[in-house]
Amino acid sequence: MNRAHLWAVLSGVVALYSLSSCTTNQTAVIPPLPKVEAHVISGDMVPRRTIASTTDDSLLEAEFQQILASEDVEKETRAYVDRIVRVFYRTQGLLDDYDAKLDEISKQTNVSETALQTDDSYARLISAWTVREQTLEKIRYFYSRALEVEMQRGNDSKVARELQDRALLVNHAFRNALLSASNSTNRLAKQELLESIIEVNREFHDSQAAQDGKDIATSKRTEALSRILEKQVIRDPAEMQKFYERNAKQLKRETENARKDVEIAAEMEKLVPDMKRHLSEQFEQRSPQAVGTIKPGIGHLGMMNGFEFPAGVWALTYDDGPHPLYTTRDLANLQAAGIKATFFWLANNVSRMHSIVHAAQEAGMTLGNHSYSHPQLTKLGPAGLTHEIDDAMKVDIEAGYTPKFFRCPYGACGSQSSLVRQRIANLGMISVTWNVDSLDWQDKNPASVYARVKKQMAVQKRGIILFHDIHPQSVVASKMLMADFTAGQKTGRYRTVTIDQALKELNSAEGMKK
Amino acid sequence: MKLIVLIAALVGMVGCSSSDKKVDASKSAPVALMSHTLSASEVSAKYSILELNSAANLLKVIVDQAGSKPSTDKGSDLIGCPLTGKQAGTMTMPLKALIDGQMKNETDAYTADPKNYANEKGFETCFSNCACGVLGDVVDAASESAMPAGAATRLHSRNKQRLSLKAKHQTAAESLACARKQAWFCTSDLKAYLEKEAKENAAEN
Repeated sequence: MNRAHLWAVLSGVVALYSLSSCTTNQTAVIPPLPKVEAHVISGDMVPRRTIASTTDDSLLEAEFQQILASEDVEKETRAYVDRIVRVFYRTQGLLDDYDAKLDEISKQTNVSETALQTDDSYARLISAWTVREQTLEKIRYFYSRALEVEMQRGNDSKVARELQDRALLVNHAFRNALLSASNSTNRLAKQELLESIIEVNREFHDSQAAQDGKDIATSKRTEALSRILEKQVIRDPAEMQKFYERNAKQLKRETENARKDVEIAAEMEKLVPDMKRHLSEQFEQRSPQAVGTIKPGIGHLGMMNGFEFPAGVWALTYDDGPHPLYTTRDLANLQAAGIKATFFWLANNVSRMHSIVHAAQEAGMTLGNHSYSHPQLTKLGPAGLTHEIDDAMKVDIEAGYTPKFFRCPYGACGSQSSLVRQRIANLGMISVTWNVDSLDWQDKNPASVYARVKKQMAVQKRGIILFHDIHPQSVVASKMLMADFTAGQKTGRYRTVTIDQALKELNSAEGMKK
Repeated sequence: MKLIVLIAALVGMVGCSSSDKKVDASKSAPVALMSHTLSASEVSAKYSILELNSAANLLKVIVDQAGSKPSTDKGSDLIGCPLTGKQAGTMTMPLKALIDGQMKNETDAYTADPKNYANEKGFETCFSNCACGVLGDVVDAASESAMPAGAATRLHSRNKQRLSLKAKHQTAAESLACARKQAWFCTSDLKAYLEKEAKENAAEN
């Protein structure tokens, strides 16, 4: 046994001794409790909540009052705390279990983050987490209410005194139940539980200080409990790791028990369908790939925003051109870097610059429609939309390409029922937005534009990057990014695609891969 | 990654689980907002291009300040009204539309009298309000052939060079300093308008 172990054992012994002596004293001061029928204590008699809480759940209050009014307060409290602690511990086991399972799924099939979200394990992981959080809240609520009732002052009626006595018994049983549970090897899983009780004690003292008074006996007991619990909390990550290793077998056994726990299973079964539905809704909004073929239409499948790409895949896009100087430079830079990008151009410019259109086509770039003259389409009527979308398409066709993609100026396509989206879909085009915005129109400093894009890329992990090929700073900033892409493609960190390529891959049987 | 996914999901879940009261509140908000929100033309008439640009710089700074993970995008309290990077990002586009909408008039005013326009808008001190960029755009869009003959052309060329140089060297610290001065934005009609537009224009609606 090393020195640390010795100290741990000694601390435990001292803690237990302190507890037992404290318990004896408490028992001695508790007046004999008269036998009171459950209905004698009603909700109206119990003082209202004063200690801060994250919930105001009437069910929790009902549970508390039921125990407070029960014939054997200590026994009921003990059973309540034991049950809660067990659920709390076992859901931690389930969390570890599902977490490991998700890891396995991720390794085996190399699935994307979004696909991972639709997996059943994920919904179960969140459900287990929710059960655990609810349990934590239950114990916080129960304990803080018992403290409140125990320390109530200024009311010397018989009922009030009875309530105080009962609350004292509740707290006495609570401490015993909690401490005996926290001394087991399961204590690692109950770190949060212990810290939460310490926090309730702290709040209790704060509320007393605010009321300019102090219940000395209650105060001493809560302080003593905090001191003992503080020793149980393992704060050093290395020590925690050691604890895991030392108790691996038992923890595994407990996880098995968690899987078989009927009460937890029942709680989780109630939650899983909601969690799955919620995740599925999120998934549907974010990833057309998972729910069907992307094709022109007013729904989610009629648009691409980059979230549907696998991590590491990027589409570089440029709006508002062609520009005689800057588009030409962008094209030269892209060709030098061996990268293909997508351009959303204004028909107004396209009509005057056919040579740039041809150069871009020859270089293998994807060309999309960005309206005729860049108005806010949602502010236009049918005639305006005809000019800005239909006529623009005609200009593109005259220039030599039929756009399959449309990007709304200012990203303003409107809701699914908007005329804009209907018109785009009717012309057989898919709406394309972005998830990384260079804000190059608001920033003339290329280094700053580049830094912004890189930062957003780090957050988004995949997607569609928006530049404008009408600004000099965009030429420089996107060239800097191209250098990263070139290097990243060699190491497998990045892959660049055009929107057309992305669409084909997303709609293919194999799906899009990094 | 697991942690990020979990936190993101939990954040979503919290929003979901406490749905009833929150949904009610959010339903009533747009109604109140709609009745007081100005139209695009009213906003455009009320705010100058320099004010719009100041707001755009502010939103850009907030976007840049957003956390390195979606879950840490808690909102910037730069000017006293917290805005998340995501909120700021969605407001930039309708703001760009307002700026673009004023650009032609500004360019016409500059073309008609470059010297006076430069004095009026403070070309020389544009870095103090981070306006060199937008003023540079005004000047860039101007047609030399439409300007008064003679000195205007030389002045125009100098304006272009100076504004471009100043804008190009605007630092993040300068942007931040400019952004800090925009407390007016919090309670402005402009903010209300941009919020409404961002919501209406969102393709995800």
